[in-house]
Amino acid sequence: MSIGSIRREGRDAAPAAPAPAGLRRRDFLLSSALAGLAASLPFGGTARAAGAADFGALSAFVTGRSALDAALAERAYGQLAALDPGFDAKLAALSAAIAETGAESVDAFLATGPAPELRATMTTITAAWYLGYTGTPDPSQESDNAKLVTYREALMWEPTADATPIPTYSQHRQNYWAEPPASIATD
Amino acid sequence: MAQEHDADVIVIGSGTVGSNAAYELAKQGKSVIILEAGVRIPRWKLIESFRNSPRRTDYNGPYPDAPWAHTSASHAYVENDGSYAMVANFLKLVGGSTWHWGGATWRFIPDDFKMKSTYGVGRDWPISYDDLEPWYDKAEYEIGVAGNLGEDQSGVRPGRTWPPRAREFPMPAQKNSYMLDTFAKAIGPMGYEIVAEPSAMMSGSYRGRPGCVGNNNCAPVCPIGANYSGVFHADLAIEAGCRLITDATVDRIEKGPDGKIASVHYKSSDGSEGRLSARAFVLAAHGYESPKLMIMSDVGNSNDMVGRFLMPHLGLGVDFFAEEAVWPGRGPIQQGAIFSHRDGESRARHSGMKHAVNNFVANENITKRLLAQGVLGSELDARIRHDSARYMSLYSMFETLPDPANRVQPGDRTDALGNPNIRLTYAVDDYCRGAIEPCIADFTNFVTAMNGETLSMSRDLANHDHIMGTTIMGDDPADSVVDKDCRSWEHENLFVVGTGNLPSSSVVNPTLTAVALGIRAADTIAKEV
Ligand SMILES: Cc1cc2nc3c(=O)[nH]c(=O)nc-3n(C[C@H](O)[C@H](O)[C@H](O)COP(=O)(O)OP(=O)(O)OC[C@H]3O[C@@H](n4cnc5c(N)ncnc54)[C@H](O)[C@@H]3O)c2cc1C
Ligand code: SF4
Repeated sequence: MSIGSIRREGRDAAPAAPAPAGLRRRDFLLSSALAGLAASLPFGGTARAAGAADFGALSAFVTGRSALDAALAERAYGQLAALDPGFDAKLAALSAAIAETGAESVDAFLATGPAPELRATMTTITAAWYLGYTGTPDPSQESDNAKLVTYREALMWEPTADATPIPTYSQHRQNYWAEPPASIATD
Repeated sequence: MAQEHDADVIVIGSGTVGSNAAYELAKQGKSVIILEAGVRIPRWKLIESFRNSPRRTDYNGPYPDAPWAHTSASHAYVENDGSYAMVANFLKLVGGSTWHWGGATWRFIPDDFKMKSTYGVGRDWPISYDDLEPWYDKAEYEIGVAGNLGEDQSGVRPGRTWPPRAREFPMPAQKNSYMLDTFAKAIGPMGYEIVAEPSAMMSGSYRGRPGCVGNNNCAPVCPIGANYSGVFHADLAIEAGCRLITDATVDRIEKGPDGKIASVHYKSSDGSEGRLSARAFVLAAHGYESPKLMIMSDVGNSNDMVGRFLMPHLGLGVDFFAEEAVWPGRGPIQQGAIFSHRDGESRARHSGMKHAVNNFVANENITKRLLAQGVLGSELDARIRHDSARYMSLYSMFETLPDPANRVQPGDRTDALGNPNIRLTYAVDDYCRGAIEPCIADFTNFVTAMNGETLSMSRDLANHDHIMGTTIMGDDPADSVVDKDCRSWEHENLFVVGTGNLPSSSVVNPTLTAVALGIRAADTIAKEV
C-alpha cells in the first residue's frame, strides 16, 4: 500500500478558491474583547491552567474560530510547552503583536505583515488544532515526538465536511461515492 | 500400535491462509488445533487505538508489537543486510496481517504460471492456472470477493474475461467513485482502460459482513468489517470445532524417527511452554516467519532452498493536483487498476506492472503541505477544500524475479522468548529497474490527461508489503521447498502454505492465490489423515 507523499517543494501558488456554497461559514470576526484578553494575559506565568486558557483564546483568534474546546486547549498547550521551553515567550510575543496592531481578525492581523517568527508561532498553533496533534509523526521510525490532541475535532476536517468522511466515521450510504458531492459545480 | 495424537492436524498461524486451511479441515471432520503467536483483539479496540494515535498513516499503528510477538513495527526485529531495505509489514494477532490489508483479491493470470516457458525469465509453476481455477473459485466464495465479469486483467486481450473463470464473482464490483469515473474518461482516449479491482471490501452484505459504506479506513482497520480479514475464518474455524490457542509462538518443529514431523513446541509470554503432536502439520505463519521457523528447526531445508527466492512487489508512486475537483476519499481507499504493462512481449525484458488508483481522504496531507507553505487565516480553510478536492495519487507494483541470493533467515538478535529476529537480504535487479521508465511514461500521461500539476513522481522504488518465493513450490526437490501440493519434499506430513509458495510474483496482490493453495493443501491433507 502506498500513498505518494506530498513534497513541500510542490506547487507554491494555488489560487485560493472562493469559499464554496454549502461549506459551513465560519465567523471570522473575533470580538476585540477576546483579542484584548489574549493580549493582556502574560504568558510565561506559573499556573498551567491560566496558560491553557490564554492559549485557547489566542488559538481561537489564530484559527478564526469563535471558541475552541477548553479541554483540548489544555492538552495542546501542555504538549506544545513541553516540546518547546520557549513556547510561552513566543505566545506572549504573538499576543503583544496582535494587541499592538489592534487587528480584530486573523486575516486583518496577517494583512499587517507579521514578522516570520510570529507567523511561525501562528503555524505551530494552527497545526495543533488543524491536524489534531503536536510534534511530527514519523511512521518510518519506531517512535516519534507526536502526541494526539484530537482526531474527530481536528479542524482540518471542517472545510470538506459535506464532501468527504472523517475516516472511520462514514455518514453516508453505500455507493454514495458514485456521485460527486452536491457542490461539484462550484468546487 | 496406533499412536495417540493431540489432534489430526496442527495449524501454525491464524492468518487468512492458516484459518482457511483449518476451516476446510474441520469441515471435513478433522480435529484441528491452531497455534497463534498473537492474541485476540476486538475490532472496537483497534478502532479506538487508531483514533487515539497521531501516527494515522502508520498501518501497524493500531496493532500490538509485543516483545514476545514482534511485528514489522520493530526495527530491531526486522533487520536488513542487503543493498535494498526490504520491509514488508506484518502483524501478529488472531486473524493475522489481513487486518490491515487493502482487500485487493486478484487472481494470477495463466502466463504468470509459466514465466520461464513463455518469457524466458523466472520459473514455471508445477501447476497451471487451470489446475488452480476451482480453488480460486472456492477461495473467492470463502473470503467474499466483489468484481466484474467481462474485464480483461491482462491488458492484451481486450473484450475477454481474463483470467478465464468458471462462474461469476461472489458479489458484483462496488460502484466506481466519481473520481475514478472521471479519471477513466480522461485517460480512455490515450488507450488506457481501468479495470475494477476485485475486492474483499464487500459491495453488499456477505456471510455476516456488512456492505461497505465508505468509511475510507479500510487500512489500517475497517470499522465495520466490510473489508475481510483472516479473523472471519479464525472464527469460522472455531465454530466448526477447531481449538485456537493464542499467545503460543511455535519455536520448534520436531522430527520423528521416521522422517515425519512428530510434534511442535511452543512458548507463551508468561514463560510457559507446550508441546503438541498431530498426524499432519500446516505451517502458515507468513512469508517471513514460516521459512524462519523451518531454518530454526532444521526442517525441510537439506537443499538449502528455504527462505530463498524472496520476491517483493516494488514500484513507484505519483501524486498530483487535477485541474478540476474530483474529490478523492469518497468510498473505499482503492478501487481501479490499469494494466498497460501486465502481460505481453515486454515482460521478457522488464517487469510487468499494475497501476492502482488511491482514494484516500486527502485532508491531512493537504493541510500539512499548506502549513509548510505558511498558509494561514481564512485562506487555509479555502485552500484545504480546494486542494483536497483535486488531489490524486496512483501507485504501481512491479513484478520481481526469483533469485536465490534474495532471502530471509533467522538473525542473531533474540526476542523476549529467546527466538531469533528476521534478517532480510535483497538487491534490486535490472529486470525490475527496466520497468521504471515505462511506468514514468504512463504516470506522465495520467497527469497530462487530468491537466494536472505534479507534486511528486519519484524514480525510487518503494516496497509493497507482499512476500513471495520464500517457501517456493516446484517440481524439482533440488531447487524448491514444497511440491505442487505445498508438501515439504522431506517431510510428507508437513505442509507449508502462504504467499511464500508462489514461484512467480506477478504484478498483483498475492493473498487470494495463497488462500486458494492453502484450501487445496487442506483438501489433500483431509484425504490422508
Ligand atoms: C498494509 C498492507 C496491505 C496489504 N494489502 C493487500 C491486498 O490488498 N491484497 C493482498 O492480496 N495482500 C495484501 N497484503 C498482504 C497480506 O496481508 C498478506 O499476504 C497476508 O496477510 C498473508 O496471509 P498469511 O495468513 O500467510 O499470513 P498472516 O496474515 O501474516 O498470518 C500469519 C499468522 O501467523 C502468526 N505467527 C507467525 N509466526 C508464528 C509462530 N512462530 N507461531 C505461531 N503463530 C505464528 C502470526 O501472528 C499471524 O497471525 C497487504 C499487506 C499489508 C501489510
Ligand atoms: S470504505 Fe469503509 S466500510 Fe468500506 S471497507 Fe473501507 S473502511 Fe470498511
